[in-house]
Amino acid sequence: MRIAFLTLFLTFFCAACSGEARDTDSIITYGRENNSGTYMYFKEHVLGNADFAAEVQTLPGTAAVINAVSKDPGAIGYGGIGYVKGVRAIPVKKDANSPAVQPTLENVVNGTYPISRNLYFYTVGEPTGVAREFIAWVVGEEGQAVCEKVGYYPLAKAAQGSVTANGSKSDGGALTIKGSDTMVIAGQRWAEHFMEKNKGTMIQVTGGGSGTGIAALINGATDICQSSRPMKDKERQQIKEKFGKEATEIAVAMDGLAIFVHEASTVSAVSLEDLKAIYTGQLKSWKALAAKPK
Amino acid sequence: MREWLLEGVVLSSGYVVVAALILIFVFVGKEALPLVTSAEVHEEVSVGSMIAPTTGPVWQPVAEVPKYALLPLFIGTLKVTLVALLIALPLAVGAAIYTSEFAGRRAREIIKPVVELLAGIPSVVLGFFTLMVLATWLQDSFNYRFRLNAISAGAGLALAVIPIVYTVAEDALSAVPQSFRDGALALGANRWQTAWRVVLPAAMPGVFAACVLGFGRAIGETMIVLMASGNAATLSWSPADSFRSFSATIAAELGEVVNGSAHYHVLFFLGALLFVITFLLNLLGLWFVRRVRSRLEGRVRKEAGA
Repeated sequence: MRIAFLTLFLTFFCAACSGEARDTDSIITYGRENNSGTYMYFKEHVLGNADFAAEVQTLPGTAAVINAVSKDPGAIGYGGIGYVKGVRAIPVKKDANSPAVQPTLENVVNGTYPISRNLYFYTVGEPTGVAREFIAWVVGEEGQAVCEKVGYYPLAKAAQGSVTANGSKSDGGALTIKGSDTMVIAGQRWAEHFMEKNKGTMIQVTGGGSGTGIAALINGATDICQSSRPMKDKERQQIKEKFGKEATEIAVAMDGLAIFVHEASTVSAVSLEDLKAIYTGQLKSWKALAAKPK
Repeated sequence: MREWLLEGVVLSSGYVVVAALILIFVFVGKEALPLVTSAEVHEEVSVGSMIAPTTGPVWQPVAEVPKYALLPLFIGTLKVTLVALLIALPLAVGAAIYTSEFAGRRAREIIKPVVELLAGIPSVVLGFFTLMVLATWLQDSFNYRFRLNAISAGAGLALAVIPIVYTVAEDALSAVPQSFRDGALALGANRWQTAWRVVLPAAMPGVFAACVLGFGRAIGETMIVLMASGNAATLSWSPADSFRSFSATIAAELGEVVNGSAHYHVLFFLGALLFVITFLLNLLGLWFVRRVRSRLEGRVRKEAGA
């Protein structure tokens, strides 16, 4: 018994010390958990719906991805653009021959940055009452200014003001908002400013991931769902079956997916094709990436 | 009259705890059952396809063709539990032996509450500490390719397991009658021999129970593993690779799923599986404790009779 235990311990100890050694050439991939809109977006728009490689380490939250990348010289990660701190967000090329585009506010809003997306609010049926007032304020000038202040990107001018308050001002009321972790900071700021202006209104904002928010909307557990991905047909169908109303989609802000690397990394730009190869596990070395014909 | 009332309160609180446990199991089991019975779910996944998947040993529940292979998660869970126990058990039992047998009164009065305080630290904090500090430190020391791996997560997990094992083991050791120690010392054994050959065997049932409790905590702990494991569902047995465990998978994915979908039932099945594993291990532990105890008592009786 004692010998068996000792052998087991020694084997494990040896295994622990003999793990694959660190080198600067291997690409260490980080991504988001599969309950996030960011994961879905990346899978659909960058991987073309292919599966992620099993080695991709998934973390809860963009902040965690950034943290991990900032500590790993060989790492690459992706996440919401509003967060970049302590890592370098590299320019992205649509394909090998197109110009590398910096992930800046301008490029995202005018659509040249290749991985940008709308962020959405969803409600069951047309929003009414406090929800409508709140959404109208968010897509209006003031709400968009708030969103820019906290590091998210406002909608293009033409898309602003898509919902308008319909006259009568309700005096207060409670509202729950749930969903995307990417949007949770923006949601909280919007709620704070709105509550300050409209005393008596209580807005509760929680995260959990876009999928969580949509599931909550379907289960009737939230008034507004924040989502960083468009709702799937299946989910729309579920809402229609359950409530007899269509889900309403309101674009409230824009976001780019930034590609993060360690600050000491020498990579200058990456194309969508390269990203796909990296995240599906076909490209595992930084040298191989650099050696690819331009 | 008052006694009757008190007895009733104690009795009912006992039953409430048991009932809660049974209800939890019924709930988890009920949500996991469609995996076996529902034809609708079977179009996507069944217990058989989770154990022997035709699409390869891959865990990709959010995909065009969802893939639910248990193997990578099973390996991950086992890997981290083993690492955590290999770190935690020797440390915790060693510390328990020290405080109960060797430490002076003052040292014991400081060490015991401090270790027990460790049990009060929320696992989120331990997870964060592992993610930010421990993982970096281990990677720098051992040069691991993956910063988040089973060693770092296991070490973090050990921090959560140690106080539980320590407390229970220390109580078991302290409960060994003083006459055992006096007898051993009188026969010429030194303190180390007394502790290792007399007190520890006598307290073995309690110490073993402590280890089983520690195992339960290690295999079910979620937050530390979710934060520090990297959550990559690989097939690697190497503790220096990233992994994905049952509990972290449930925590990460349960928020996403729509009630009643195949994925939802799969996650509850994982929960039920964890429950069954812990339950079986506890049974095994109980059986082992019984055996050890009867052997010990048998020996004592024989000696008394001789």
